[in-house]
Amino acid sequence: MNSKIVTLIICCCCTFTALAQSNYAVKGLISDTTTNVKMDQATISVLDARDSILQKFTYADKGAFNISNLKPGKFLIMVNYPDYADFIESFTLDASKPVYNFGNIKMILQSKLLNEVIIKAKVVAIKIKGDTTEFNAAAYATQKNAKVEDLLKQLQGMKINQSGVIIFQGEPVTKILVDGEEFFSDDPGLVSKNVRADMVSKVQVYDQKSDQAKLTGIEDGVKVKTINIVLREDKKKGVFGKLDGGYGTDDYYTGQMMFNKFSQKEKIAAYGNIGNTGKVGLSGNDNSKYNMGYGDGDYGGNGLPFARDGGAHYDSKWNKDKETINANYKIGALTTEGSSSTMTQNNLPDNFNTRTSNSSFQRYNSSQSLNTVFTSKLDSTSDLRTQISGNINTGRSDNSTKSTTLRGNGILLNNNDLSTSNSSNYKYIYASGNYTKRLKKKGRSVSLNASTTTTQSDANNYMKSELAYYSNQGDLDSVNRIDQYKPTDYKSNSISAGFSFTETFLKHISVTASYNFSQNDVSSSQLSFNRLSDHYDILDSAFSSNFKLKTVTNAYGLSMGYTTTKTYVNIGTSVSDASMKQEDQFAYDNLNRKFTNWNPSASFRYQLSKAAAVTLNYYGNSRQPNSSQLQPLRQNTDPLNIILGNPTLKPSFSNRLSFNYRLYQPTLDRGINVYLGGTKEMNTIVNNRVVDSNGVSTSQWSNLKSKQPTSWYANVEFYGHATKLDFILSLNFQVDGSSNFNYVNNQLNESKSFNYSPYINIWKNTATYSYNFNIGPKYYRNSSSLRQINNNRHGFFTEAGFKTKLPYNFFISSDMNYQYTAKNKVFNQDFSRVLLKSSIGKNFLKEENLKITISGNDLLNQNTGYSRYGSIDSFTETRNTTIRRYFMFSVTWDFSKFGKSLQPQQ
Amino acid sequence: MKYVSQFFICLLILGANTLFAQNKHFITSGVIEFERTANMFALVKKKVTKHTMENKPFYEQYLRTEPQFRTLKSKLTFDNNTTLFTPIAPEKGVHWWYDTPMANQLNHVFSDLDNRTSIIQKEFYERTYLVKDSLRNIKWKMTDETREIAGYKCRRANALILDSIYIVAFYTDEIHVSGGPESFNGLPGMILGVAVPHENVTWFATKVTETSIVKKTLVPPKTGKEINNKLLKEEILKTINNHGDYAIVELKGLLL
Repeated sequence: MNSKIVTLIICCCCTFTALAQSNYAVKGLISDTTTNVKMDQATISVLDARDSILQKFTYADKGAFNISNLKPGKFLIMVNYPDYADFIESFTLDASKPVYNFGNIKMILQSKLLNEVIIKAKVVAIKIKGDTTEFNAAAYATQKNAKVEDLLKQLQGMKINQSGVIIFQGEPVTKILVDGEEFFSDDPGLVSKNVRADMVSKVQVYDQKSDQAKLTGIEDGVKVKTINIVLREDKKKGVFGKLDGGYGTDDYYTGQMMFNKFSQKEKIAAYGNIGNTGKVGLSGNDNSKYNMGYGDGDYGGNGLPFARDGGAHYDSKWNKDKETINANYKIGALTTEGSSSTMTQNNLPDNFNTRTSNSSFQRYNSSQSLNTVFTSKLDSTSDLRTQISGNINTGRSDNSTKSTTLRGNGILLNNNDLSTSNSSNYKYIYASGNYTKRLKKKGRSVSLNASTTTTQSDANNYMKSELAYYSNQGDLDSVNRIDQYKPTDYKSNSISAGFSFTETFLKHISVTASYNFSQNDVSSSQLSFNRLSDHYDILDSAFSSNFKLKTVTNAYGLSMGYTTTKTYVNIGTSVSDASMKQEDQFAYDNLNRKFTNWNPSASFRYQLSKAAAVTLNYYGNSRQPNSSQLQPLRQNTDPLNIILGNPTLKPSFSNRLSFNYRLYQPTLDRGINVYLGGTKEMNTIVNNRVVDSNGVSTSQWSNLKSKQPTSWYANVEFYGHATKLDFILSLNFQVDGSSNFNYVNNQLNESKSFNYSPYINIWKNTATYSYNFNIGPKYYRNSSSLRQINNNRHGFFTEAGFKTKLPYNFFISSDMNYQYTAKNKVFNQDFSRVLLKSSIGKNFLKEENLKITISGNDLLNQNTGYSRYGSIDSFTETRNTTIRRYFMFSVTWDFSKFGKSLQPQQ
Repeated sequence: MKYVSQFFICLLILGANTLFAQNKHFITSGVIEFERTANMFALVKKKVTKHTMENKPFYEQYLRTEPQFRTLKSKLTFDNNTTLFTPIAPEKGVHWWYDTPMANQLNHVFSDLDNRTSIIQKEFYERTYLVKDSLRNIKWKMTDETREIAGYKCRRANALILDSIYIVAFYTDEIHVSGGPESFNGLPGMILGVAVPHENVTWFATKVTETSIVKKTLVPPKTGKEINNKLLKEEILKTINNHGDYAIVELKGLLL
């Protein structure tokens, strides 16, 4: 009996334990989310929830699985299937629930998931958010000691043109911020050449409002394309910089020094440049004076430059970051010498004449500028921002030009010998303050602002001109001689003050109302004295003026914004009335004008998905004629080109519309950028020319009512990885067109132009080599209604470059740029030019931060300074003195030392 | 041009995701080629111990005259749940001055994954053993790290074997065989990569060929003295117990 009971108990226990063992199980059914298809052979693994140790695994049978013989405890289930996102979920097995049934487990295709959610493991190169495009620097490889410039070149949609201007999706970038703060900001080239690429975590590109719009709260339609460089946490503290020196054939030399010391609360930077190669020492300001942009390019390519400049930056935060100061100082000088010869063909109704001129010049310009911004959080609800900037500029220039104009039939029309000598001084001071107070109700704020600007300039100009006119037969008719001293003096004072008030309704809607008052007082004298024996003391009243101009403007703005996470809409309008009062100090003649300007604006942004956004902007504005267009003054600085003012001008009104669509697919690293823009102008102020029988052209401004000039621009870019070679392929199509009008000898002239330039661009960058290749045809249509022949032409360009490391730390690089423009009805010769530069060198030291380079510029010696240009009613060919072939030996030392990482990098 | 047009077509149908779940094909039989890379500088250095400083000139000579990495090839044939790992004899041996078990491929491994048994033909010190025992049982710690090996997406798992040797393995769930090179096994898919960081050796698959396997070719090795793991370890210990500090290095190399 006993033994029976014992056996029974043992049996029971055994069964019980056996049951308990096999009882602990997990089961479920695996299927695809979208199609509901059962997923055969999916891998199911059971892991221990504490340490991820694999317990058991199985493969699903037509989607179903059942894993038994588990122990009680906390587990993770992991389901994998190729191309599908992992499914991971925790579950617990215990006596109360020995079998866990997951039911239907839905798997999501990775490609689908990745398009919707950004997965951390893969480096996503681009994020698109509202109007901001953000590039993740980790997704781009750069060589050791590379600078931000080398990183920017790789970003999709970003180009750096030959003059060094950074262009993003067709628009030039005018500001670079570092961690959201100004850092030599008006000089993007300087930042991009100074800051190291390995310090960058993210590059954000967006449009900022102009400083003026930010100050007053009144939209002025100006968009400042801005790049913000976000630094890596571990590179925010350290010292870095560069020393560079080179000497070459024909006495070419460069010297460059950059030093930076960054810490969490403080940034100190200083730089100095000297050189005559046109590649260093030309800061943004200098270059923009030559209207050619900034940076690596040149000073306009015209003449031989000798540049030296330097600058310093300091910014700091203190008092728990409540107070900040940001100061930039720059000093520089540029001497340029050169000569140029120009051939211009002016088109007249039924005729044309050709002017050839040879000129030589010598220019000197020096400038100093200081910009300081101080911000303070007065308390938790109010901020104060004050800014003081100043600029001092002095310049000298000597020019001499000899020109000859021939009639269309080849007979001499006139002959001009002109020499000028100028010296000028310019001073500018600007100060502004802005106080913002956030009121108790969320979203309600008041802002007060005030600013003052003083500009002063004076110049002493000497001018000698001998202009000889010839008759129809080519005989000397008359000679007009000018020998004058022309001092000018200009002073402008303006003050402005205003306030704006913002109120938020229903969480998403904000309304801003603003008012701004400004007054501007100008006194300007431009005198001309004829010479009597040794002194210039006979006033030539025909070409002298002295007037005072006072402008009072009241501007009222109202805008309404609606912002949610996906949508941003802003509609605004501003009206300003300006009254101008001009006193002519010579004629005691007063001219009073009143203008009412109206500026409506609207912008709309919509985030289509995590990776796509559309933007639509409209901006309409009245353009008030400027005072030089209104002046009834005569100038004789160029006796062959006389410009007259027109006091009866009315404002013109222009409508601008732009559309932008951006899409990026992170899984495939490819995307689209589309940008379309158009402008239509009403009541345009046009420049009308009358050319008399002596070849003197007189132009005057007037409003054009009958016709409306238009211009439009389209840029479409596709980029992605097209082949297994893993380079980025970008297909671009650019079209722009315009039609413009003016009167030439009282006949309406319409000039139309269309430019098509599709191109293909490929590039690849790795830590050891990089290459790029760019090719495309160009087709221009350019016609003017006054002439039968058009200036249609086609051309072709290609750019190729590579850079690679060689064994024993040598490296080699080369860049080629080829341009071709075919001859046409205007220019009877093809134009083709190959610019080739190469360098070879060796890196030293462990970090490869000491570099010796031998480089050759323009190896084929084809940079002849030739350029040609066709405009509304004239065609011009120019040849300038320029920097040609030279070889240079240079030594570069990059130094950097960064502190310990404060936060681990993700 | 083909790529370009594909590129455009893909871009034009953006947003609309037209991909559907497809029944993926899973491999259950075939041949995998492996490459075993050993860092010889590190391995030879291990021959220089406190008590064998006389080996130092050999090590220094090695640094000057020999390449850092020794690469050996092998082949893993698998059909359903049976696998056979066969080393391919190298063209060039290692000079006896520098030789160490970890520099060579000692094992032909036949594994029966269903019955969890293995037959290993192990050759060392001119002796051949036939080790018949159960499969090596490895506790794998799974991670979420992935990498691609031989065109297959692999997941990383870590483990400790032989009490103290840290190994990193990468397996793919596209090959539904729970095996791997040498005696590595037990993951929910084929192991295509193994790194033994502290022993300075790695195995990585270079090529995966799916093919049906003739049963005849997938047979266990036959030559050698039959033995089990426990007795083998005793035999080895007997041979190397007078090798001083270096013995433990040899033991790891012989047992791995």
